[in-house]
Amino acid sequence: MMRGLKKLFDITGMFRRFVILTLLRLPFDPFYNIIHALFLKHAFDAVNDTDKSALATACALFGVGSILLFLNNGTVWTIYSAFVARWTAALRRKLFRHISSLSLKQMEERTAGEWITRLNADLRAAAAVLDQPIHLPHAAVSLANICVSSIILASASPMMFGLVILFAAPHLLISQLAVVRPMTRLAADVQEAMAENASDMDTVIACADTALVYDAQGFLLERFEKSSLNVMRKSMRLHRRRALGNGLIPLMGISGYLAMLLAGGSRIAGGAMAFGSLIAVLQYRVGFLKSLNMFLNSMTNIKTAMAGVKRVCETMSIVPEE
Amino acid sequence: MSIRVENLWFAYNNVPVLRGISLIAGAGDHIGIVGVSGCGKSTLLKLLAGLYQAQSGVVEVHGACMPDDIRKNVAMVMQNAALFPASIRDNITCGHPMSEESLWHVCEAAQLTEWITSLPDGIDTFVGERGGKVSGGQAQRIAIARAIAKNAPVILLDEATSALDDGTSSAVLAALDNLTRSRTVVNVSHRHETLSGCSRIYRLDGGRLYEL
Ligand SMILES: Nc1ncnc2c1ncn2[C@@H]1O[C@H](COP(=O)(O)OP(=O)(O)O)[C@@H](O)[C@H]1O
Ligand SMILES: [Mg+2]
Repeated sequence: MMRGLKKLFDITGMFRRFVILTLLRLPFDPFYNIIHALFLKHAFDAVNDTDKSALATACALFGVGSILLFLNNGTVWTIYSAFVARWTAALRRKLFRHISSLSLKQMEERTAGEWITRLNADLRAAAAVLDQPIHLPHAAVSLANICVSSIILASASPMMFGLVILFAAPHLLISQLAVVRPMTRLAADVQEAMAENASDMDTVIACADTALVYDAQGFLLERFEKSSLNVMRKSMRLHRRRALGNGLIPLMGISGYLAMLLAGGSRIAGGAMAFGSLIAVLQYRVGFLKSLNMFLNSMTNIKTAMAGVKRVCETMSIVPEE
Repeated sequence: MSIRVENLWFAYNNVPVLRGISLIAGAGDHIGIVGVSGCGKSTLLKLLAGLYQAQSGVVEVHGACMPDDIRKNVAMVMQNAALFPASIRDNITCGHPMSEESLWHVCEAAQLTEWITSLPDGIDTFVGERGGKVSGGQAQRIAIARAIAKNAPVILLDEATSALDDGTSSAVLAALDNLTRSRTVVNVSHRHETLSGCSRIYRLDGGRLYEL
């Protein structure tokens, strides 16, 4: 995967700018998570002590902190969107230039539909690494938050951290094996089916005269329908896998939450833990799990996009003759 | 009468290309039409093939006047043989049922047998749409095989021999010979010398036909 991404950035350039934007985006989730947890802790402690001014201070600080964070985040994302638009345009330009530099013989070795797919569908699939709702920077951001949340949780309450990991681990494992890993292959099948379908569609139009003279429209349409069905079947396999990943979330989430509530409740009853601290720990857990899910989703999406990346790199690696 | 064209007019977007064409061909006649590129030869053939509808005048091919019916009576081999991205078999049969025996008969007549038997997948070999995986001459012969398989009384050839190099032309010419033998043929070319086998030759110029 890393090799594919490196190749992709070798084609487009602009890697430094991408890293800078991702780094700028990186602190948002951990900071937001910490601010949120600290707020909950202090607010509930203040409520516990019926300290009105402490509650007001907590609310005010939380408000200001959130506004600053969102301001930073919004600005970075705006710059990022412009960057992605330029990056995608650069990729398309490079791809088009490369394809048009190939010899006629190389062009003729593949169908027109195949080339059109390589220029359009493959490019879109590859660009998804950076431009779909959840993508590569999200993987980095969520990974940062997972690390920060883990460190805080582990030092705050090793037992609670153990519980979080205990319930998150099976989810992580199943997702990795059943969803993330097969994604590239499933998506590659879809791209291939799409290329074949585009070629069949192109034939219906490009060979219309021959088809009319030889009464072959029915034959060509049948081929087109067959390959359309194949695209649908291949896409469904992909989407069923993704749905499986989403179905795991509530199952693992709720049982982990209940276990922590039970363990925390008994510690509070024994006087070993303040209510505010339990709420804060639960908030770190929410942050941890949210980031874990985001990380898994980004990995699923990136792995899916890798099918496009591979095909783009393959196109770019065709050496022009003469 | 195999082909009857009377006072045929045709225009693309009000730009007339054919201005009052008349042509008669009896069964078995071989008609040649020569003319510079862009003079309307392919347009005339498409009208004779029932691919276009005459805007005024009559086109009658083997007794049929409506384009849908005309198409049943003609087979056409075009300038740059357009193949379907499919197997050689499907390219020849166009999805119509055909016995293995007649298929091989057609391949033999189109000079394809030797080449096809040398292929690992034989007649089920996949060929690209612009003949990506086959040579120009092989693509041309597949297109000719398709025309032979249709067994139509009227054969239309659009620059079928213009683009051939010397190495492959004899096989294609032999295939064309088998296709056109004892059928009505309209053969169109921008090169006069490729029309030597025709019994009558016309020149298309300014949208009109002149007998040479
Ligand atoms: N689909 C079309 N739309 C508009 N003009 C066309 C079309 N096809 C051909 N023409 C024009 O009609 C004229 C005759 O074309 P064509 O029959 O292909 O000539 P030829 O086969 O003799 O080279 C040309 O000037 C060409 O530009
Ligand atoms: Mg022409």
